[in-house]
Amino acid sequence: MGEHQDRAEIPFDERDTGEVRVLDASRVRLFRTPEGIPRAVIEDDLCCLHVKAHCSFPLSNPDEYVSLRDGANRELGLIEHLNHLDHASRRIVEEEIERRYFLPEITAVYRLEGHFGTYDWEVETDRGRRSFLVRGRSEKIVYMPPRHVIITDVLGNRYQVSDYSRLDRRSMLLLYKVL
Amino acid sequence: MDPRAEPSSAIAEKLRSLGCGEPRMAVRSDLGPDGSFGEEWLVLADSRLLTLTPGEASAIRRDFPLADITEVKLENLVGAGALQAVVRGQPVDMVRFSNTLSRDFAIAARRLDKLVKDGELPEPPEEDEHRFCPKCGRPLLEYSKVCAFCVSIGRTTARLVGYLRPYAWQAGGILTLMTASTALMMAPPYLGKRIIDDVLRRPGENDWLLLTYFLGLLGAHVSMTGLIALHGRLSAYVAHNVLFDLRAQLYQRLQLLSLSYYDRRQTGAVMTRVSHDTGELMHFIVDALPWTIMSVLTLIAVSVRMISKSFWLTVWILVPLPILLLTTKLLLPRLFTLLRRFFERRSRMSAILNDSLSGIRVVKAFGQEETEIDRFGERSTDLRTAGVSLDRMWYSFFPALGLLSTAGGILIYYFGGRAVLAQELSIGDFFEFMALVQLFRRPVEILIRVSHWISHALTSAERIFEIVDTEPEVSEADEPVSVGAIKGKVELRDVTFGYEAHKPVLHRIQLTIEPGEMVGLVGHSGAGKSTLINLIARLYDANDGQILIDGVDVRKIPLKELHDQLGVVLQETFLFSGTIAENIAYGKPAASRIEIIRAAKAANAHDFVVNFPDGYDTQVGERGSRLSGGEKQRIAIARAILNDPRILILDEATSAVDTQTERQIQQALERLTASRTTVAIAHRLSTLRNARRLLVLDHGKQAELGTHDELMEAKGTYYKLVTLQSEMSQVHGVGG
Repeated sequence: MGEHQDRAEIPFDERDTGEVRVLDASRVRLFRTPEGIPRAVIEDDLCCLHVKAHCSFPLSNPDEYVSLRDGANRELGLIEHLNHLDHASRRIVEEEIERRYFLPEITAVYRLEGHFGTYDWEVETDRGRRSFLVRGRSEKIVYMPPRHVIITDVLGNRYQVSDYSRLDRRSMLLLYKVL
Repeated sequence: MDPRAEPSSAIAEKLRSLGCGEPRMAVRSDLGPDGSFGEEWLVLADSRLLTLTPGEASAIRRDFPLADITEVKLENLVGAGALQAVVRGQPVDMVRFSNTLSRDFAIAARRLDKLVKDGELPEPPEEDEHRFCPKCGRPLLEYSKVCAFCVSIGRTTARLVGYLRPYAWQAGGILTLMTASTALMMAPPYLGKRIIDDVLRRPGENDWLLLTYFLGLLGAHVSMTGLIALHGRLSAYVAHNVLFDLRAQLYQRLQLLSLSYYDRRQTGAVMTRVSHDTGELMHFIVDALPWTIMSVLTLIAVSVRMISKSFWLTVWILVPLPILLLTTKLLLPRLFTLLRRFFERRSRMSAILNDSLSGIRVVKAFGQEETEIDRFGERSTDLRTAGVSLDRMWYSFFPALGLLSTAGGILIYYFGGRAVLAQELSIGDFFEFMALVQLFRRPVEILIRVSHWISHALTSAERIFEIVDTEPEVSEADEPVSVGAIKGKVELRDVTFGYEAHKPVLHRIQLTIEPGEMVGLVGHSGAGKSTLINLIARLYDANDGQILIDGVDVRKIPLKELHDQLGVVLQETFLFSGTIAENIAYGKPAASRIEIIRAAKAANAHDFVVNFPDGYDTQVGERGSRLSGGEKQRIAIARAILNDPRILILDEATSAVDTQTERQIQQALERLTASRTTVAIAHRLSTLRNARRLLVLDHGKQAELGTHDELMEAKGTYYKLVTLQSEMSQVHGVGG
């Protein structure tokens, strides 16, 4: 039912040539206003009052091909790799990405109990301890080879394990119950 | 953990210590300022909006007087959200929260936004849905009241048993028969003992008893068989009737539930509920339950008999039992995990297979055969690993189980033999014990699995009860006001609605449609057009404002009366499997054949139907698969024409059809909408021009309202839409 899903509004631009604009990162500067709003100056000719950063590959390659966008959600260009930016600008982009993408990394599994298709998890993440419920298996646990797993709980929160071979033994045994 | 908890007195304390008054509103967030899981409070106090970070060094992180705030809004992030206050033109993050709390903060944002814009803080909407289990605090699934972890076995069983009430006599009879046949089961071992002790060990003394005992034995077996057959049949009768009652209740409820129930779930899930869960229950009531009862009865009878003969021997025989139970309790869950993993991997492998074979064209066109082979190989390997683990466990577990359950029979040889040698037992007793122990095996095997069966069945029962208990959201008024034949005046007064109450899709719509008038709804995709017509059809009820038909609030009109006089032509033409005639007459099954033909003719469908080999008797196929898009549309139009509704709701299909068919459909629509109150979501220019007035929606808000000419002159949104549309259809027309 299309009408009541959250869809970002993408403005239709007739002048869009369909070409990708990869920005010269050395000529891109980001800074914050006193109120904390991120602003960007792109290649000396464009000043964007409220810039946003979207990752093209948030799960597999968050540092590459970051899309810088203006207040109307139009793409200003792509940053090929974040380490091409100067330190301060890179910091700001990373902060904006951190704000936008919330995907805690599970570092340990304390408890994983199943009860007829519903699993009760208690984990430690890089953002603190958390409990959640996962219902069902196939759609809620997504595998990204080789050892990357993304879990979605019943309330729509997601959690990831980038490499489950790096977990401690107990966590891995528990995790293995559902893999 | 329910995050909607009230601010604790500790929080109120902290606020006071930091110089604030009583909070008018406080919402807790589960993310700290650095993005880690933590606690922060968004507080409205003293005409200020603040963010409080509790902790040892609790501080007010953000603090703005309401006067400085022009807007409060939500920003949806990925996996989280942020509530922002717009201060001096700039949005400032007040607080961030995970998806768990998106609803709470959406409500808070809406309330605060109204406060800063209108000056009034509206009441929070009613919590009519349970989101967290009242017992364990875990989130509930799918807005249901059933917590998988807290299912009360007692309550569900009691309720299930309730369904037996109409069959109380039969149930009583079944139990009696079962008891009787169990008692009879004790007879053969006993008779065997007598044969050995009284006849065989004393040759010559009681030879004539042999025949008597033999006949007794025969009689016992025959009667047992008879009793088992009887209670089996009775069980089946009761079980199937109970299930019939349950299914009927379930299906009835499903039909009556409003659309919002189905919106939130996938149809597949609901269907599984009905078929799978009732199937589970059927299996349980018909098979598992009788066996369980029989097993328990048998165990009791056998134990009693054995103990009455020799307490200590019984004890020795029963020694393996606790070991058996322990082993089962420990190993069975692991077995199930392996089983689940095996099935899961098997379905993943099938999925890949299905994928590549159904898309084999793409695979070949892009030359990806090798990749697909590798992908499949990986999944196949995974499956093999799981299969091997499973079978290893299976073939260790069940033999071990078997050994333990027959251990009793073996132990008897030793302990029983010793008792005979010590003259405590006769050989006949020894024989009887052997026979009784044999009777033990089957019941024990069944009871091992019982707890598992019972939980499955109870969970299924709970899921079914959950549906049966759900009240439809759109319900009949307590005292419906009949309007008789609807004249067709439709009025929308300040209507606001969202599928989720805190995310409105329509904002304050004002519209009056005169009888016989056609109003077209125009706007970008997602603007709220389909939603608006859903409201008029009373498939949902507005959150705010009123919808009136002929001056009567739509909620007061009896639902049946409303739907009888409302006609609907939807974007997705849904045809039920059946003949074309049946589909056209769906709303009016008593229609005569000539009425059907007239409707079809008006819809420009008659000609193609009559050209079909089976004419109006043509089977339409599942979901109308045998008809083309244009044909389906016209059948749907015919269906609406036959219904002759007082108010017509039209959601134009946008599927591409050739120009000829297009004109036929246009003409059919003109005939359908002539002098009938119509609300149409229009895509075709021709439909737009037919409409007397047009309502332009922009993101759920009313943008423009007027006739086609008025709006074209105004050169606003409508003008842009129309010019874009005609450019596109020009291109479209060339391809045919």
